[in-house]
Amino acid sequence: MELEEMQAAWSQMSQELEKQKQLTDEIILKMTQQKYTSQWNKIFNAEKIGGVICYVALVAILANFRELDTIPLQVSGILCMLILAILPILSLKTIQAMKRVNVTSMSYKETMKTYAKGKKNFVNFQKLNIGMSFVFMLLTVPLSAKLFNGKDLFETLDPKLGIAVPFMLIFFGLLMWVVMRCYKSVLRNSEKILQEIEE
Amino acid sequence: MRKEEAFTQLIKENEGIIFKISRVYCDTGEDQKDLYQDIVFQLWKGFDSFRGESKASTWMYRVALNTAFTFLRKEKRKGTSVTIDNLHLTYEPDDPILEERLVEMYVQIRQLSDVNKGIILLLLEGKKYEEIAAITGFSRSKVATRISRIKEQLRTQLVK
Repeated sequence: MELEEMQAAWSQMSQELEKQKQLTDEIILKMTQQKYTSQWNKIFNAEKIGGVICYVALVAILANFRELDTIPLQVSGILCMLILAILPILSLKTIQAMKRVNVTSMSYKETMKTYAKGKKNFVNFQKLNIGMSFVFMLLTVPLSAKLFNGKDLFETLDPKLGIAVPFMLIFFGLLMWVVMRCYKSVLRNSEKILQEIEE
Repeated sequence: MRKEEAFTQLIKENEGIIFKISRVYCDTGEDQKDLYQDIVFQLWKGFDSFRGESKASTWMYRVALNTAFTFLRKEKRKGTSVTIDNLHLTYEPDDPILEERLVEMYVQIRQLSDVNKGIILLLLEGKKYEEIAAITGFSRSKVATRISRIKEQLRTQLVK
């Protein structure tokens, strides 16, 4: 179908639609009164709860920091606290960037661009997040052993660790693989949108 | 005039725009209804900030196209949609030939990219290049280039 034929069909449809008006005041108001909570708001709230948990853990490590009496334990403690302090802030920032898509004031081009860029940043942050979570998980092993059981794993290695660490590695490897698979298509789509805008 | 009255009047005057955009971007009746509702809701949300700097229809097209774009990308659409029994988003032309042409037309449009879908929709609505540029945010020359590419793509699709 060529453009001219489309225009003729479209115009005929528009004329008929004008005669078939369906909306009433009641329907319009009903539509606008619904409590709309977007998916992003839900994630944002979950992230906020996660952030609070991270900061509680940070305070707990800080309060017991004097019990970490060797340099390796202290370094582990500091790294853990850094991860707990920085990751929630970065996470909230990337989600806020996604929420910046304001459909009521932006042009179509701006909406697409902001959305695609925000999505790319979000996916890249999630990759960093998983890497940092892995480091964090490794660091919490000696920290929790010391803080809860008084054992210094850097001095006396527990044989159980020989089983636990490989399991952790396998678990994280699988998690990373699944996450990357999910995000690959998201990234591809974002790239496609950006490319489409620039064409 | 109260805000609610002014809003419902605006929507009633332009309900065709929302219907047509919903139909271009969504295949199924249920999705069309969801998008339709989403567009009305977004228009309500932005109604206070709309100060008549641009034409009402220009603003409506912009919000509706933006909503359609983001609506399609929500991974899980969990916005609770209200059941509106009185609203049947179906348009049944009396003329079977027109119906056939419309089906064919939507098939052709849905094969275009998101940007081009928006542009052709505005073109079919009779908008001038300047108006399309104002709504989409692309320059007038970019709009012209895209329209000539769309024409080309439609011809190619026709051959296939």
